[in-house]
Amino acid sequence: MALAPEVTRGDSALSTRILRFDWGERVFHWSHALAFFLLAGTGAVMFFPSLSTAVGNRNIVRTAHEFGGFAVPILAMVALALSPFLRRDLAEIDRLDQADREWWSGGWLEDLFPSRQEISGLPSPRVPSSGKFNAGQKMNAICSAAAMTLLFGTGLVMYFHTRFPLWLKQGAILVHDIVAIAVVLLVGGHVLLALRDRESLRGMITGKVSRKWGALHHKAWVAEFSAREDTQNAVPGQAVTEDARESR
Amino acid sequence: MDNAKDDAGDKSEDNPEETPKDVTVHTAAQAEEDDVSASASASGSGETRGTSHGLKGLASTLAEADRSEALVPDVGHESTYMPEGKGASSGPASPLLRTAGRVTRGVGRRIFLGIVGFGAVVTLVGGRLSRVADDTVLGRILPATGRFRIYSVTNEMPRRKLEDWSLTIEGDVENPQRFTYADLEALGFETDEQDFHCVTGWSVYNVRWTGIPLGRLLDLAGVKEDRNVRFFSFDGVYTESLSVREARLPGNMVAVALNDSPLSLQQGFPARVIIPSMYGYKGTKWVDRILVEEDLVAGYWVLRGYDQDGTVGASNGFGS
Repeated sequence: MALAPEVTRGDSALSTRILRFDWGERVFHWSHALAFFLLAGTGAVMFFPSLSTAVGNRNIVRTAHEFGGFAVPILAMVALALSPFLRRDLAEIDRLDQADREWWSGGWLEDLFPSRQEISGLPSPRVPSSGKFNAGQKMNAICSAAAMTLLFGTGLVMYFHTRFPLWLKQGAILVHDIVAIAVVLLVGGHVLLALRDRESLRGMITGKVSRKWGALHHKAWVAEFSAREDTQNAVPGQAVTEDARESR
Repeated sequence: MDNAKDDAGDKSEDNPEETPKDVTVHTAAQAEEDDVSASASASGSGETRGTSHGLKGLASTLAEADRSEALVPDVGHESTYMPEGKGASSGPASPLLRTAGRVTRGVGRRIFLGIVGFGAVVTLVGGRLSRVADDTVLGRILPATGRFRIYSVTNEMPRRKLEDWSLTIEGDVENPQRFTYADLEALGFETDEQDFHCVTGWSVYNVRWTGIPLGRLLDLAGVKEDRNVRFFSFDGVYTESLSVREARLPGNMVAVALNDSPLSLQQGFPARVIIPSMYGYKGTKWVDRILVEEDLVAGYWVLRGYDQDGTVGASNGFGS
C-alpha cells in the first residue's frame, strides 16, 4: 500500500483537508498580530518626529504601547497553556533535519516559486520533503521570538525607568530601536509571503490546508498523516481504498 | 525523493508501537471529555459535552470545528518523521524517517538563546557605545544618538507668531517683567554648548543653545532664594518646576535658537527653557510664563512618576 502516490494522484485524493493550526494557535496568531500593529504603530509615532508632531499626546501613545508590550507575553503564555498543537510545533521548530539543510542550500527557491509545480500538480523533486515547517518558517519563528524577547526585556528597562541607571537605559533604547526596525522587516516579509501563498494564509485563518498544498510544500508532514490514517483504518487483509478514505 | 517505493513494502515496520488511537485534539478544556470518549471511533468526532457553558463550551465548540472535515494529528503521539526522544542526532528508523535524514535537536533553542544573548550584551554596552560612536559615522546610523526625538503632550503643537509672543516673569517677585523677543535680544544673547539627555535613554551631544541665562532673568525680576519657580507652556498643559537655587544652575537658559538656527515649531518656537544638568523633561517648550511662588508644585512628568530633581545620572534610577 503505497503512501506518496495517494497524495499525488488526481484531485479526488487531494480533496481532504488537514488541520494545520488548531484554534488556540490561530487565536494566538491573530491576537498577536493585532498587538504587533499596535506596538509598531505607536512605536513609529514615538520614533519619527513627523509622526510624533502630528499625533502629539505622548502620554497616551506611550501607555498604549506599553499595554501592547505586556499583552504579548501574556498572550504567549495563555496560548502555550491552551494549545497542545503549539507546544508540539515548538518542538518541531527546535529540530533541524535533512530537508532543512536542503531548503537553505537552494530548496527554498523551488518551494517559494512553485509555478512549475502548481501547473503540473506534481511535486517537484527538488523541493525538500519538509516537515510541518520548512527551514525558512522555522527561522522566522525563532528570530521573531528572539526579537520579541529582546523588545520585551529592553521595554521593561524603559518601563521601570526609576530602577535602572542611565547607561542601561541608553543601551536598552539602542537595542529596542534596532530590533524593532528588524522585526518590522521580518514581519513585512512574513506578510508578503503569506499573501503570495493563499492556501497557506487559509491555513492560519481556518486552520485547515488542502492535502495538495501539503504535498507540494510539506511532503514529509503529509506523508505522516497518510501513514497514521491508513494504520488506524486498516482492517487486516483489506486494502485501504480511495473510497474508504473519502468517506471519513 | 520518492517516498512511494520506500514505504510500500515496509508498512508493517513503521509505527510498531502505535496503537489505533482516537484522532482527537486534546485541548486543556477538553481533558475530561476526552477520557470519556477515549474509545470512540477513529473518525475523530468523539463524544463531547460540547454545549456546556461559558469558556469550556466555547473551547470545545472551536475544537470540534477544527476536527470537522479534516484530518487531525494526534498531538499526544510523537512524530514519526521527526521523533523527539531519540537523542541529539538520529538516524532513520523507519521509511518515513528516511526523508528526515539526520535530525538534530535543540537547534532552534540555541539560535534563539544566541540572538537574545547577543542582544543582552549590546544592551549592557550600548550606553557607552552610543557615547563613543556619537562623533563618528556609526553615530549617524545608530538610532539612539545624534538626533532629537520630538515629544509633545497635546493634540497639536501650539503656534504663536513671534510678534504675538512675550515671556512674563510674575508672582512673588519685586519687579514683574514682560519680555518681547526684541527685549530679550536687547539683553544680549549668549551661546552655550551642552549635552541633551532624555530620561528614556537617548541623547544629543554638543548642542548649541542661544538665549538668555535663566539666572539673569530672575535677577531682573528680583526673587528670594527660598522661593520656587514654575514654567508654563502655552500649549496649555505642560508645566515644570524648580527651586530658585536649581533655576540658577549654570547652563540653564531661556533658549531661542538651537545650533544657530531659530527654534523650529517642533523644538518649541519661539522659546524654551532648557536645564542641561537635568533630563529634558525638566525643561519647557513653548514657554511664555515663569511664575515665582512659595510652594513647589509638581510638573507634568513628575506627576506621572518622574523625579522632581531630574539631575542626569543621579535621578530616575541610580546614577550613570
